[in-house]
Amino acid sequence: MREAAREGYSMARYDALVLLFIGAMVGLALADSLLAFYIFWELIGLCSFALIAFYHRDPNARRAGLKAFAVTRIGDIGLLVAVVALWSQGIVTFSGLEAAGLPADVRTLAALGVLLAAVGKSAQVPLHVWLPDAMEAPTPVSALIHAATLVNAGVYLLARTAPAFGDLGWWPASLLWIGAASAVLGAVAALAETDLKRVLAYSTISQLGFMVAAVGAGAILASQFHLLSQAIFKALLFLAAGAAIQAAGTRDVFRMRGVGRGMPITSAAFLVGIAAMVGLPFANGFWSKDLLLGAVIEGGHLGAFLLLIVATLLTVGYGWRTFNLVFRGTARTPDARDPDPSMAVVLVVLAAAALTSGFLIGPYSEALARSMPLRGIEPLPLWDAFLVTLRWPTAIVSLAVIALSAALAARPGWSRSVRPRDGSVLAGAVGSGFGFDAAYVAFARRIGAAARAVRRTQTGDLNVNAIGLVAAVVVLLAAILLEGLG
Amino acid sequence: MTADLLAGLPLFALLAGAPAVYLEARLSRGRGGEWTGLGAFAVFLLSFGLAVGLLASGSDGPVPFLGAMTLAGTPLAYFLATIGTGLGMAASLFSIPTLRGDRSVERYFPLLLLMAAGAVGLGFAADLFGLFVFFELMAVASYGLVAYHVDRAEAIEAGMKYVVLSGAGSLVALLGISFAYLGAGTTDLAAIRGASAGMPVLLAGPAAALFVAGFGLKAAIVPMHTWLPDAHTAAPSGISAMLSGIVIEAALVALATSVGAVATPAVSVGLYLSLLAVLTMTVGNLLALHQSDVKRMLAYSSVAQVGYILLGFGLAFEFGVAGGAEGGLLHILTHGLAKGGAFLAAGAFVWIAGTRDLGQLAGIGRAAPAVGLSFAIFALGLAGVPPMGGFLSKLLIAKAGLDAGGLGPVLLVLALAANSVLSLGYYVPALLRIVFSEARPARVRVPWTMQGPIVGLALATVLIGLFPDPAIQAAQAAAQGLARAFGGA
Repeated sequence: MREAAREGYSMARYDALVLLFIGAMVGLALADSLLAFYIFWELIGLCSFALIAFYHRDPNARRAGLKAFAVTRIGDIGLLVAVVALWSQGIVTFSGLEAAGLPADVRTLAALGVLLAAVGKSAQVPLHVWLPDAMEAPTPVSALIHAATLVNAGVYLLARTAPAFGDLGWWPASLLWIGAASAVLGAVAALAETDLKRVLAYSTISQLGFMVAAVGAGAILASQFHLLSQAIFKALLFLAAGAAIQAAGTRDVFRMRGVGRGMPITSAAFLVGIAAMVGLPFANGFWSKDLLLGAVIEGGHLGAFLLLIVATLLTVGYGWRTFNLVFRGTARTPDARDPDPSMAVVLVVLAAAALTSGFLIGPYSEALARSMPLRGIEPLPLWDAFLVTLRWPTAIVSLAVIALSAALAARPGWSRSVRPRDGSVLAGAVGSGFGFDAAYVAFARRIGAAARAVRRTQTGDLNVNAIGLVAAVVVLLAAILLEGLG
Repeated sequence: MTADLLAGLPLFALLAGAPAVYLEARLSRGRGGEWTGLGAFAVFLLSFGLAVGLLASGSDGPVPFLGAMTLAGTPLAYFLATIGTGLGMAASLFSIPTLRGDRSVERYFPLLLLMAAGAVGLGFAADLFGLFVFFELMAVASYGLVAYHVDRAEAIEAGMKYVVLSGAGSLVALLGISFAYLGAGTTDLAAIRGASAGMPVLLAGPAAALFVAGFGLKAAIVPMHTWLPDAHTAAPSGISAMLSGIVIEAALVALATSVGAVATPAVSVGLYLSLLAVLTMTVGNLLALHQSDVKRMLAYSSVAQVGYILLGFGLAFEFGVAGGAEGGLLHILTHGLAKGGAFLAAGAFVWIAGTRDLGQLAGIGRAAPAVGLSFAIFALGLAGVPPMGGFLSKLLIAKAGLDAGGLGPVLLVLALAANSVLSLGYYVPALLRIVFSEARPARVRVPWTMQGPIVGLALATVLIGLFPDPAIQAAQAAAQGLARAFGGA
């Protein structure tokens, strides 16, 4: 951020927004009142918008900020409708929601609103398009907001409301499929993307997909534990990536080649992050992902389980591809150095957390069982969690992850060659957010066309204007008399 | 008797203040408009203080007035008076620097007071005769103000269109009054309400339709909105703030009280109002998209906001949910503050830059940071982003729809929600352009009479969002008056 300050961007604005964001995020996590939750929800969205557009002299940053605001706003409206629908039944708190019996139509409306809100905030298909563009934000913001905190708010909301809507049938099923689809699509895009920060953004979409699917499978503990793991390893990956980007002067993974030569601490930190993300034992992602996959298959959701397996293997692919491309090989920038100690120490601390937080499953599950009752959460001692990872479908997945990782580590050339040709279907699909970007653009055009059509009625001609009054009188008279006399 | 007179003082102060300010302006010719503007401000301040006091004291009773015209000092009247005079204070102060050296201030400030008196009087009117008189007072004063810049072709054209359409609307409303009189044999609103159950549909129905069209024209309900963008754009910015902030809303209240008097259970007027509301908000928002003239954009957004308020009234009418009237009235307050403030802020930008074109106003918020920040607050408030006041009032309207239950009201609420999203399509780009642009024009010193009202309205917008209880209580009390008009349905 020092360079940003040198370029004349206001650090006061940056610090104020980050602090406001953190405050609002803490408020959101602690709120029991639905209305307070909604207000904090909007506040974190506003801060996110302002921080994405922080480099306001860059038109791309401004456009990305606007896009994030507009797309997540669709979800925000969902939350508002849900909050108001519950309020009309006298329910104003989460704790009240858990206990209440609701009329069927209100419950449907509220469940739909919550679903929409979570899909928007947690960047799930089809509202995922804002997150990759949000990478125009300063890298610490990406690490804090778009990897570790804000994007988790949707999953957290789902976990908070699961007891009220979990037995609706369509609600968990939608979560399962939306999550699994996001996990796969995000991983495919991450494998094809060439911008390092966008790789990590797509990876976040994919990991959030795992968590959403887990809520759909009723595995609240697994989803929230994976939330913790992801927050740690993704923040680590973003900060290490930020250091590498600064050293290399580019975000293109093919032009960053070998930047790790002169930066051992950053390389090691990134490697730890990759190990945690792909789920190598005994990093935190290993525990949470195994727990999650085990819960999904135990729930009997075979289709979603298979999709998540595909996503897991793709994760191994793009994880190693990124590491091999950026940090290994002949250095293109031989004078790249590790960042100064103030930044390096953060990487070391986060790397240590990524390696150890998985062992905290015992106390974590106890705390969650206490604070989130009614969700079937049982305390899970470390040894039992370990046994889960040894059961047959998940154990095979772990072995596959280990074997594939070993192969990709030994043969970096394999993964480095993955690059969609310009103009290929895959490149096009990834570049356009799998067609959803195009769909939104088309939708926005429709609105624009409607606006122009309506504008044509604004002729400024007094005769035409008077027709409006005459038409209103005639139509109202006809309607009222027909109804009144009929 | 004196106590009764006191109950009407907020209105009487405005009516008496207009000639007094005019006299002062005539006698002090050549000394500039400062003192005239401050005089008008003092009258508004007096009236505002009285209205707030009476609103807080829960005063509710008849007020003696000229001849047969009956007035009632109800919470609804004081609620409207508080908004109208509060905005009047802001507009009169703001107008002082913009009119410096203008020789026609002797017209400007008295007409401003009379227009406010008309709007406030609509709240006080207890019979259709009074309703019409104050409606016309408001209209005639506003004709003069829209066309205030007689040397500008744009202002004359807008004023002409406004006069013709508004006059036609008044005639339609008058025709409605005659139908109501024919049916009930009286112009007293309470008496008509009592007789409305026995009124033939052939009289009550046309009366309701003509009230909706006639008063609705002045409230800019689609398809009778076409005059508004021209008038609100061409008027001086202080007047635009009043027109958008209180005048069209007062017309809505006149519509609600008059239609409420003649409503019969045989006709679902509330449903028609709700459908018109959805049409109005959608058309208004679509028209506001891609507007390059900042005042025109705000004017179109007023059309959309009228739709939100009307939806609240329509829901209260059709489904008897008190929250609808409450939310609608609270939205009159929050929208009045935010839209009035936005017009004043836009007026300050125009005063600095000499243009209304958003492209040329890039970064203007940085030239006057206090005004720029206030504009950001107004834009977010109008878009309904918490914690600004506009969020809460829209929330109450939406809640009323869900309180009503059933598929129809839910669809209406979803239309409201979709329109909220649509409205971001112009608020946010305007905000980005004005406040977060790369352009950095030089700092400009904005006079305190201009900056003070803007910052004050911005503070009020935030404070009502953060501490909404007094405002909600006032809106509730006022809504009871409106519910009486709706026949306690």
